[in-house]
Amino acid sequence: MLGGVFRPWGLLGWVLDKLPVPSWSVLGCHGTEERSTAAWETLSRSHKKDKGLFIRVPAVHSRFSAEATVALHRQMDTLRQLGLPSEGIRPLPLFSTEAEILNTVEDFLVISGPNVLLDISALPKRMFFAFIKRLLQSAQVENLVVTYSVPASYADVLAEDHQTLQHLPLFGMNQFPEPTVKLAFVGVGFSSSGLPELLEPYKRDVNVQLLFPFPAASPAFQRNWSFVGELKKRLPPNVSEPIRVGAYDVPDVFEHISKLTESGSKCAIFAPYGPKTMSLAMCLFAVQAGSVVYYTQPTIYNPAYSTGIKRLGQDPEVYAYCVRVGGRDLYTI
Amino acid sequence: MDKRINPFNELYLTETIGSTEFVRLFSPYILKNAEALFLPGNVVLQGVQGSGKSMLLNLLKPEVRLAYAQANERFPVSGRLSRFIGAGINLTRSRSIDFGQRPIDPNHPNDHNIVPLYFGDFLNYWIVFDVLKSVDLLGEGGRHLKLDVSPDASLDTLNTFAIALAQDDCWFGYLRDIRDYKSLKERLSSRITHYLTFLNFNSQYLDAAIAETKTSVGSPVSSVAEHLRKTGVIEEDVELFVRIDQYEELTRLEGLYKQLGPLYRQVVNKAVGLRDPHVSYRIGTRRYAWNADGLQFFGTTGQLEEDRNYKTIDLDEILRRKENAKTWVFPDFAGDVFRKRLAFSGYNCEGRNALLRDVLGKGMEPDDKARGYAGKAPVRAIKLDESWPVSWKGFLTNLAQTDPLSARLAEAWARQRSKASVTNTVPEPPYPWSRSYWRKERLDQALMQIASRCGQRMIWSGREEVLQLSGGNILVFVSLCQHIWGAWLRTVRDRLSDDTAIPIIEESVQSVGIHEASTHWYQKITEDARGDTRQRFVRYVGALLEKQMFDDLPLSYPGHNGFSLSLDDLEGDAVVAQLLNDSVAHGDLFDAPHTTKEKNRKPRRKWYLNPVLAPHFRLPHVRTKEPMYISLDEIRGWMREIGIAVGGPATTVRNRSNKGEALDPGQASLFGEDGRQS
Repeated sequence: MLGGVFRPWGLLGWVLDKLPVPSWSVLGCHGTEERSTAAWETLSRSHKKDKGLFIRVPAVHSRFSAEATVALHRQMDTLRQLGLPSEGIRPLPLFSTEAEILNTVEDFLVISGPNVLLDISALPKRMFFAFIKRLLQSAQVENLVVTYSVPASYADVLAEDHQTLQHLPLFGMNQFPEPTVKLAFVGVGFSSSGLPELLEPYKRDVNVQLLFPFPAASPAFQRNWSFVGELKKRLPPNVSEPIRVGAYDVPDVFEHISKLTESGSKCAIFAPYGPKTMSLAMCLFAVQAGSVVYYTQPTIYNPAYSTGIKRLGQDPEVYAYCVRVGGRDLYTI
Repeated sequence: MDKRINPFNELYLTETIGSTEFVRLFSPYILKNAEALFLPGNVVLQGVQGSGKSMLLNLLKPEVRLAYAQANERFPVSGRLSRFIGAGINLTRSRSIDFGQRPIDPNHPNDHNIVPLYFGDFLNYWIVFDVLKSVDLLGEGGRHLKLDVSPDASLDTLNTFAIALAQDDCWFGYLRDIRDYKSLKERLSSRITHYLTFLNFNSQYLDAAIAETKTSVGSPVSSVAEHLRKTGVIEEDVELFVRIDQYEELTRLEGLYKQLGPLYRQVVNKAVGLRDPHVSYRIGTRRYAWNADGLQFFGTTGQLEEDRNYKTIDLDEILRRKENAKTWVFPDFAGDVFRKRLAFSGYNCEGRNALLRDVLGKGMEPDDKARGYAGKAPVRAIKLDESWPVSWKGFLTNLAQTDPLSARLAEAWARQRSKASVTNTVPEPPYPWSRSYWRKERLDQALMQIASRCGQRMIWSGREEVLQLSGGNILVFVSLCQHIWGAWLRTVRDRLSDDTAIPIIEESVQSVGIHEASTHWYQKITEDARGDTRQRFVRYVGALLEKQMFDDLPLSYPGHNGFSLSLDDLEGDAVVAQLLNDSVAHGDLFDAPHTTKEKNRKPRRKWYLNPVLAPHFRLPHVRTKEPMYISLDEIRGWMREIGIAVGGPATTVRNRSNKGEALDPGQASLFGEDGRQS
C-alpha cells in the first residue's frame, strides 16, 4: 500500500517462500472439516514444520454427533498421514473458561519457537480471538503468521443453538464508565442470529457499519444479502450501506475500520459474523483499540460446516497473513 | 405527518427508545396489578420477552422520571408511590457474569468458593456507583423541575454524605481517606475498573487492596441508602429501588459451569434476603430462572421465601387470558398502546373510544369465513362417505351451496358414533349440529378443515382475534399490528394523501399481515438461546397436531391443537422436561395444569403452541375441550425424530464433560491416544 504500512498476505506457499524463516511452530485445530488440515498439508510439503499443538473441540451431543465422529476419524487419519503435531492434540471444550482457553496458548508458547503460525481455518472465534491477542502480547513471538483455508463449499446449516449475546473471551468491556460507542462494525455472514438483540441497546446513537465480503460465490452472495435485509428490516435508521471489502483481504478490512474510527479515536464495538478473514481484521483492530467484541456463540456446529478444500492445481487454497514480522507488528493504529 | 410511516415500526419500548418517546408511548394500563413495584419491599418481576418487564423497570430510571417532568406529563404513579430513587445493574452488560472465567487466586485450593465473594463485591460497587449517578441526575434536573424526589443536594451536603459513607465499616477501610463526593465517585469507579482490567486478563493479579476489603453483598447498598437519608441528600420517605436485570443469565451459567454457577444466584439472593427497610430490590427475570431450586442464600442453608422476602409480579400470568374474560386486563392495555402509537404518528385519535375495533373491526363471522374458503365450489368443503344414503348425500351437497360450515358440521355429526342415524332421516332445522356447545367447540376445527380442503389459507382478522393471537404479550401485539399496518400500506401506496383519517383495514388485508407476523414469530424462535432445537420441536409438534386435526373427520378431538402429559411422566425424564420448560420459558409453548379425564386421576399438564404461531401451522388458536393425551414414550419419540437424544429404550449412557455438556459417547474413547507423536 502506497504511503501506508505494507501488510503482506497471499497464498501460504508464496508467503513462506518470501519470509526468511526456516521453520514454524504451529497452533492448529483437529476439526471435522476437511480444510482443518489444509495448512498443515502445505507446511508438511514445504518441510517447514517445527513444533505443533492442535486442539480438538469435543462435539456437544447433538443430531450431528454420529457424523462428527466419522469426520473426526477421517481427519485424524489425514493428520496421521501428514504427521501428527509434536505436542499432540488437546481437547478444549467450546465453553471452556477464558482461563482455560488462555492456558492453552500459554502452554503452546512454552514449547514454541519464535516463529508462530496460527491456523484459524477450523478454530471457533471464541478461541482464535483470544489466541491472537495473547500471541501478540508475547515478546517471545518474533514472527506471527495467521492462515485461513478456503473450503470447496459450505453447508446450508452451519451451526445451531447459539447462546445469548456475550463478549468474546478477552474482548470484554474494560473501561468504566463505559465510553460512548459511536460505531458498530458487523461482518456480513449467512445468519444474523442474535444480532438485532446485540444492536438494540445501541440503535439510537450508533452508526452500524456492515462489512460485506465481496466478491462471494453465488449462493453465498444471496445469503449475505438476506443477512443485510434482515438487519435493515430490524434496524432501519442506523444501518449504513454495506461496505464492500475483499473477502480475503484482511489489510483492506483493517484499513476500512481504521479510517472510519479515525484510527481508533471513535469508540467502536464489533460483531464478527461472516468470513473468518474479516473477523481476523476485526480482531487485530480490537486488540489495538481495546474494543469490545460481541458474538452469539453457537453451541452446535455442523460437522459438515464446510466440505472439501478449494485447490489451485494440486495445492490447497490457503491464505497466509503476516501479522508480526521480525518483531514488528504490522497491524497497528 | 407521513402516512407511509408505519406507527408500529418500532417494536420495542425499552431502554432502546429515548426517554421523551417513552413518555409518549408508555401505557399505564400495565401498572394494573403491578403497583407493588413502587412500594417498599423486594419484587421479582417475571415474564417472557415482550411481556413488558423492561418497560416497567424503565419507569424506575431517573432519566425517564426527568423526561416526564420535562414534558410536563404526569408520572404514571403519584403520591407516595412516586417517592423513590432508582438505580441498578444489568448482569450481562456490567460483566458481572464473567466472574469465574479466571481464578481469582490460582493458588487457593478452593478458588471457586471465593469467586462469589468478589462477584458480590463487584455488584456492590457497581450498584452504589449507579445510585450516585441517579442522585446526580435527579439532583441536577430535579431542582428545576420540582420532582417529588428533589434532593437538596448542594455540594456541601454531598461532601458530608461522602465522608459519612466512607467511614462506614461495611467498606473495610477501602474508602477511609475519602474527603469529598468527587473523590468518592472516583474511588468507586477505580475499583470497578480494576475488576474489569483483571477480568480481561490485562492484569495478572487482582489488586491486593481489593482482596483485603471485600464487601458483603448488599451491605454497602444499605449503607448508601441510610447515609443519603441521614445527611439530607434525600428525604426520609424516599425509597431506594435497585434493579437487577437479566437475572436469567445466572441460570445459563449454571448450565455451563456446574460447580460455580449456582453460587451466583445465591449471592443475589443473599442481598434480597437482607430485608433492609432502606433498600428494595427489583429483579427482572424470565419465569424459568426463578424457581424453588435456586432460592438458597450464599453461605447459609436459609432460602428466600415468597411474601416474606419478596413479592412476585408475573406479567405472563396477569396478561394472559383466563377463563373469565372480564378480568382480562390485556385488551385495555393493548387498546391503549394502539391508540398511543397512532397518536404518536400524527393520527387524530380524539374522541375515538374504541380505536382498535374501529380499525380492525369485529372480524369475520365463522359462516362467512367458510363461504370465503369454499368460493365457487362449496362442495369441496365436505367429504361424502360412499356408504351414506343418496338422500343424505344430496342434503349435504345442497346445504354446502348455501352454508358450507353447517354442511361440514353435519358431515362430522353423521360420522360420530351413535349419531349416524341422521343419515337415514334428514332432520329439519334447527339442526342438531347447530346446538350451541357442540357447534362452538368444533367451529374452529371445521373451519381449518374447510380451508385446507379448499386449498385456502385460514383467515384471521378483527380485534378479538388479534388480541387472542397476541397471547397477552404486548410485543406480539405490536408486531401483529406492524404487519397488518404494513400490509395495508402496500394496498394504499398509490393513493396516500396527507389526511389524518384513521383507516379501516379490510379483513383480507389484516389476514395477510397476520400470516406474515406468524411466520416472523416462527422464524424468530432461533434468535434466542437453544433456538434451533426449540424451533425444530415446534415445527414437528405443529405439523403433527395439524395433521391429526385435519384427519379427524368426525371432529371428535377439537382440543387436539394441544397435548397433555402426566406430571409423573414429566418428572421422569429430565431431557423432556427441560425442552418443554425451555419452550414455555421462551414463549414458544404455553402451558397450564388441567384436570385429567382418566380414572387414575393423576395430575397432568397441557401445552399449546403460542397462539401467534397458529396461522403459520394452520391450526386453530382457540383452546377447547381435551388436549391430546400422550405418554412419555410418545413425546420421547417426537424428540428422537428431531435428533434429540432422550431416555427410554433407545437411551445410551452419555459421558458429561466438566462443563456440563453432554458429549458424544463415541468421542470419549475415539482418540485414546492424545495424538502425540511417538
